Amino acid sequence: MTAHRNSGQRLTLLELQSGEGLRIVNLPNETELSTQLRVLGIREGETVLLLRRALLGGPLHLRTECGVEVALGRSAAAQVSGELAVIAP
Amino acid sequence: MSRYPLDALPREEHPRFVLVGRPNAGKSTLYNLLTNGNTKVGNFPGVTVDILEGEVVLLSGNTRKIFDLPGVYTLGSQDRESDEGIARKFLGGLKREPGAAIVQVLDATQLEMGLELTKELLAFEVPLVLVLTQIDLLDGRIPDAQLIEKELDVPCVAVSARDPKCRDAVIRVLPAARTAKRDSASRLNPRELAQRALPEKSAPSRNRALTTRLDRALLHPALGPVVFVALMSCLFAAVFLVADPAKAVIDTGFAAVGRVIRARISNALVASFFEDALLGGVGTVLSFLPQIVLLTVALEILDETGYLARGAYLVDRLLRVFGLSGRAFVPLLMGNACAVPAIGATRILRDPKERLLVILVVPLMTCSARLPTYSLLIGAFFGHWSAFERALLFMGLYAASIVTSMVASVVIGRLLRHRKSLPLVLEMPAYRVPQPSVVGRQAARAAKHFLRDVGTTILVASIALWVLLKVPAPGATAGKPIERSIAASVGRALEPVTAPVGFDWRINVGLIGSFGARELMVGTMGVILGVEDADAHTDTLAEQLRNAKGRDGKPAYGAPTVFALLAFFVIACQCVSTVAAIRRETRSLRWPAFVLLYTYALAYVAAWVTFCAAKFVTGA
Repeated sequence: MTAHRNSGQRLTLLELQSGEGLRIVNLPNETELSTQLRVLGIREGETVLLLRRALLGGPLHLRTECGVEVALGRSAAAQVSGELAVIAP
Repeated sequence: MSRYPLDALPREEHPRFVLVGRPNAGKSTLYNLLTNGNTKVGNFPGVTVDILEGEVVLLSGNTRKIFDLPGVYTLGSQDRESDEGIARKFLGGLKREPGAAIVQVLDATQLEMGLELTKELLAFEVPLVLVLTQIDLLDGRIPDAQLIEKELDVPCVAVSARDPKCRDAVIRVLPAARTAKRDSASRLNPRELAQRALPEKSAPSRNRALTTRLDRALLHPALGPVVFVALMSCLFAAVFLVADPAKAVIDTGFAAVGRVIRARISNALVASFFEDALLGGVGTVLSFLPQIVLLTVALEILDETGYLARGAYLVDRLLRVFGLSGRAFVPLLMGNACAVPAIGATRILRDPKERLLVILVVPLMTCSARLPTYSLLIGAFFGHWSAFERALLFMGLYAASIVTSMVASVVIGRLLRHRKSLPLVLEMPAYRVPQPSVVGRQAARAAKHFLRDVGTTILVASIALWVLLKVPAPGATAGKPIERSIAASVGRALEPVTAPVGFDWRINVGLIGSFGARELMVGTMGVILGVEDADAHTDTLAEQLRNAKGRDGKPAYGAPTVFALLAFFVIACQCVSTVAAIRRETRSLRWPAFVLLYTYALAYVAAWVTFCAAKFVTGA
């Protein structure tokens, strides 16, 4: 457990804990993957909320700002970085 | 909705319409509603995904063609083989067809994302109509379609496609499709327009709230996998409980017709052709149908409710170990009942290489057709074992098939240079109650597909096998008819190859017979060993098998041969229907040939290793 996390701290999606939000700054370099993410609402400048993670390093369950829920594999999540954001529950 | 009144019908200058929309936007529901379910799969060369083609009757009574493209998020994908690439190519072709119009289906609960696609469609400069659906999920709010129409300069209606009454509203607006002004695409700000047309509510909709509650249980780290396994087991049990009796009824019916034919036709060879080749072939085709229909219904229900995406989320990690992704669970699971519908179900895999990989390993799963041969051999040679030991052997065969398919998946994955499946990126749609009409039509389509594409191949193979088994080989005179058959000469010719694994010509003939379908092994062995109606008298057949003598007069088949035969059955793709299904889905002859080659080669090696190991252990 991270002892103290500040809003604005730089993280990747993978480092997020359930219930935390991330304001996205960087998407993966690979265009095909970042296109796939953008069309689901995982876009620069927008905030995604981590709802939960699957067992044993499985995918992440996210909710995007425009209300789309997404299952995202860890290797993709590791390539999305941004700032820790506070989201109203 | 009354903005397109009957007495002022727009000019019908659009000979065809194309439905486009994001996955889960309610496109299939609208398509079914517009076409009244009458549809066929369009024939577009080089297209590996289904583009449905139907007809819509406009209010004037005129009939127009309507096409349903696969759901796409964007048209910007670089991959030409993907659904997006195919949709882009199809829509690009429309530019050259004067009058063709696009009907975009937008999920009103995700209006902004839908308008993102609208922005891309506007750039195509093809006449366009927007249909906002799922307004029944907005808790009474209605999106301002007029505002969207004014802003984008293309007609727009808001409906609930689940309500049959909305059909007229959509049909009324279709002919009004028009090409937007040049700058419409560049001026469109999806977020801003979505918020103006449907101001956001602070609380989530009832449906979303329900989804959140359900997900808390269904995706729970401990409870989720338990529910998943329970659900899949029920699904399986249902398939066996319903499909097996249905198959039995079909088989009994065909047997009765066969008896009538035998009684009417005096020439034995002609009667046998009608009964075994034609009727037997049709019977084999039809006996697959209950499984195909049931598995399709189950899969559609899972998909329509939104649970399929949850299943993929739950098992993704496990399948990654074998170079596959979570979505692959559906075809692999179905493969344990029957490879034929499982190969069709690989369409849910987006990555073309992963899809091919799954198609190539699905035939290794323990399908229900292997079971009669397993029980015959285990019953005949290990009848003296305790029930527990025999159950262990059965489970061992299942485990062997799972291990083989997973190893094959890793190895073939390397050969295809499919290093790793693309990371899972999957929308988890809100839960919805499936619509019986959509599910039913999908099942009917699957059945029709199977009968047309796979059924014909099975019938041809059935006739070919009949020739091999019943027509005497040139020059052969002595012995029972089966001993004089072409298959027997082939079986004898193969003996030098199969002797190292302990198979004599009789087993070889059985294997030739079982190429049509594995369950035919039992009947073919019965014919060779002179047991009439072997399917009904497997005890007698088992005894005959045990007592069968080799040329030296000693028992022909010892435990090593039987183990080798079981190992062979675990791996070999002895199923012409599977081969036909692979041909259909890959649209090539190369991949079915590859499957035959690799499974038979692997089966031979496995049989040899098993034979040698068993001989060593038993000291034979």
